[in-house]
Amino acid sequence: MKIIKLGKSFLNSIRKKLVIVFLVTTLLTSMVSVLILSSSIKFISQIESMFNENVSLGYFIQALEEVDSNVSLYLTNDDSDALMAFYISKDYLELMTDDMAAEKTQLFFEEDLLFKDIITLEDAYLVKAQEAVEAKQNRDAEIYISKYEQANEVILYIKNYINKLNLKRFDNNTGQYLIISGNINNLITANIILIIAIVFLNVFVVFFITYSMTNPIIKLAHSAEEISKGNFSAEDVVVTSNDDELKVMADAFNAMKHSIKEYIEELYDKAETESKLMDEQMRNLKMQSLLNNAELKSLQSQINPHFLFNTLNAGVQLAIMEGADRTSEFMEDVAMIFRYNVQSLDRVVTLREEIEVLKSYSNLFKVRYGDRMSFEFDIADDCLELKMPPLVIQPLVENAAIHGIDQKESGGTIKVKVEKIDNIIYLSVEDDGIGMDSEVIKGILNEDLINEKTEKKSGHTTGIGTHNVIHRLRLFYQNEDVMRIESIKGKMTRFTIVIPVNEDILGGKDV
Amino acid sequence: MKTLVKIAFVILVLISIVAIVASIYFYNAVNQKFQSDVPNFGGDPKYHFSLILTDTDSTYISQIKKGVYDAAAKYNVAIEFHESDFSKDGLLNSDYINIARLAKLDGVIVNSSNNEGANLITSINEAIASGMVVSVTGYKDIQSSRNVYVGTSQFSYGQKAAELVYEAGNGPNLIYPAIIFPSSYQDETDNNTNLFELGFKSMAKSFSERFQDFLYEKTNSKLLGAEDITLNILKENPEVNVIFCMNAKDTIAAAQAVVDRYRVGSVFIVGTDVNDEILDYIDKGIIYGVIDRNGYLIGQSSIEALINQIEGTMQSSYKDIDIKQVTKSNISDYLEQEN
Repeated sequence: MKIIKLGKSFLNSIRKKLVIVFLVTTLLTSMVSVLILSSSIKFISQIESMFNENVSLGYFIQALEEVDSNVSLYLTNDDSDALMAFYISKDYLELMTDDMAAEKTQLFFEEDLLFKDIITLEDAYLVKAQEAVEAKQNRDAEIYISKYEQANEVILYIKNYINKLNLKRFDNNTGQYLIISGNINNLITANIILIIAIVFLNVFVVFFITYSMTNPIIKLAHSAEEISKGNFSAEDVVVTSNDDELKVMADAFNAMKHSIKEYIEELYDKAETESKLMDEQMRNLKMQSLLNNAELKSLQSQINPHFLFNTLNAGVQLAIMEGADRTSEFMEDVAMIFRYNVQSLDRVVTLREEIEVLKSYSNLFKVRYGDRMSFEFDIADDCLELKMPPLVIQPLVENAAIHGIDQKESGGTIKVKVEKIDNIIYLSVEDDGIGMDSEVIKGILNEDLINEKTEKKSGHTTGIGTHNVIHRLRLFYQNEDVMRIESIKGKMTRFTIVIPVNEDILGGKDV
Repeated sequence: MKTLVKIAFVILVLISIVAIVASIYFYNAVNQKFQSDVPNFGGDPKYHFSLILTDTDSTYISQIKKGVYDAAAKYNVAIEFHESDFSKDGLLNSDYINIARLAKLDGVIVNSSNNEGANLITSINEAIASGMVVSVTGYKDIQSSRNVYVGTSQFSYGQKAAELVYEAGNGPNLIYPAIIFPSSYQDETDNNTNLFELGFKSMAKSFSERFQDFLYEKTNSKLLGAEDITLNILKENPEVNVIFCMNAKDTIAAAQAVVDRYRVGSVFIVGTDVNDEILDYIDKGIIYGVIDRNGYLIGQSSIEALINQIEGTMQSSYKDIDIKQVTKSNISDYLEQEN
């Protein structure tokens, strides 16, 4: 297709335009030159012909007078030199008239007839002159005088006819000259106008072609400059001419620009995708790291959990057999917490499961702290199927109990509340303990997992710190703003997990 | 700005086109003029004749010339024409005949006048003797050995003139004719003049009861024609009621004089030769009628006579050309015949 387009464009190519302009200009100027030259040649030729004929007749008269002079000299002096001169001049005249006659073999005009008469009269003259000379040689005075007079009469006729011929030619040529000259002048005027018009037209054409050639090139240059700066959204270069080379070039340039732009966009998309993939991988790695870390810490906090779990179950059986119901319940709660905690951390649980374990966990704290610590649960039913990572609420409650209430002599209350407002689930753990500084809050939200060690020293049962919870939540819900911490020193601390709800995490598909 | 440029461009293109067309037109005009010399002859004419005429301005001579050229073209004859005017070139009719003889032409047509006397006769005779053929028009009675005379009989001319004068003056009144001879006419010793008068008088005799004495006048100038002499006749001879002129120029001049003197209707003009102006005057009744000497036929017949002479075809040495009378009553018939 490209080849066909180039082939078509050749018909409208700049080269062809230039060739046509050059050819037209050349043809027109050549035509002007040819017309003027042709007319001038004909004109000059006619004048030359007239001039030559006049000159020829002038030489003819001279030769004739030469003969007559020699005849006269001979007749007067009877001189042999004059006789010789007569014959020489006579021969010369005859040769001349033969040449002249040879040029006029056909009779077309009355001038030709006069010319022919002159040539014939010259013959008649020579006959008379010869007769006069012969009569002189014969000493016949009467005859030679008569013949000489007749010869002179013929010379007069010849001169008269030559005058007539010249006059006739002059009249004809003058008439022709005036008309031809007038027409040639008109022709020259028309040609001068034509030349001036051609010059101006050429100037126009040169300006037009130059403009039409340079304008697209300038546009292309500007566009190329923009592209070199990385601006691929610059406007396309528009060339209004027909399918010439510039239009082909501009179209190709525009196509190239679009191709490059598309290519770069593809590269951007690809890079973005790769970046996202990398982020995902990073998150997975982080998650895995956290899980590993959490599991490690969880395992470190366990002393043979299966043995302990079985032992607790045996303890429950013993308490039931001994009728120690509270102990039995206590042991069951402990066993349940152990069972929940020893499971893998990379599973997904529901809020319901978390709350159930949390209630068992709160029972343990009630036993431990008695009336100093109470728990309040306010769980919205439509949030119970919320999917979430395990062991998220329990560390927060543990934090509230250990760092908030335990440090307060009068004890306190831990409120666990789950509600959904505008498709956002707010899961909060609030205590009315000693509270914490803003620096601490800031440290919890921003600091690295390195601080986990300090948290562990505080006696967590899960071995999982707040940082771990926050990181896992961020990774699970892919939301950085997943945790808010509010605290009033000496009055309260509230951890709120903020989870935007969608179908996937609220009883929908598995995450 | 773009519109201005476009207009300027269109104007330049239009100027160029007009200039090209004009260039081609003028170039063709120049070329046509170069080629406009239509040959008089075919390059190889059959014969070469010399036509010697005097008073070429006159209608009669012009008609002869045209007749000669038309016939020459028809028979492939080359004609060299000489207007015999001694005042211009110092050559007489006899000189032109001598030149034709010395230049070995085939023939000569000369509208002779006998004012050259013996010279003309000698020249004609020498030309005949050298083998040329000579046709004479005009005055029949030149004493030469010319091969053929082509023209009108002066006697017959006089008779026809008298007839027309009588017709013009046909009425209850007597006819007082005035005859105006052209300046080129000779005095009473001239045979042609005498023949004309004889013819006129012979015819007048038959109308003698009404014809009064003739008034003979002669124009003073070839240039001015008969105007002066007509005015003079009208003034000095108020009884003259018919004026006869012997060529077209005098006829028109006399008619104008009659118009100028408000004598149309009381003085009738009878003239000689026909041209458009004379036909117009006849149509308007200012000129009663004219004698047509038929110069064209004389010219044509002269060529044919010379060719016949050269080629040995039998012919009379005198070829009489009919004289016609043209009046208002037959003008349409005349024009029909001429065309």
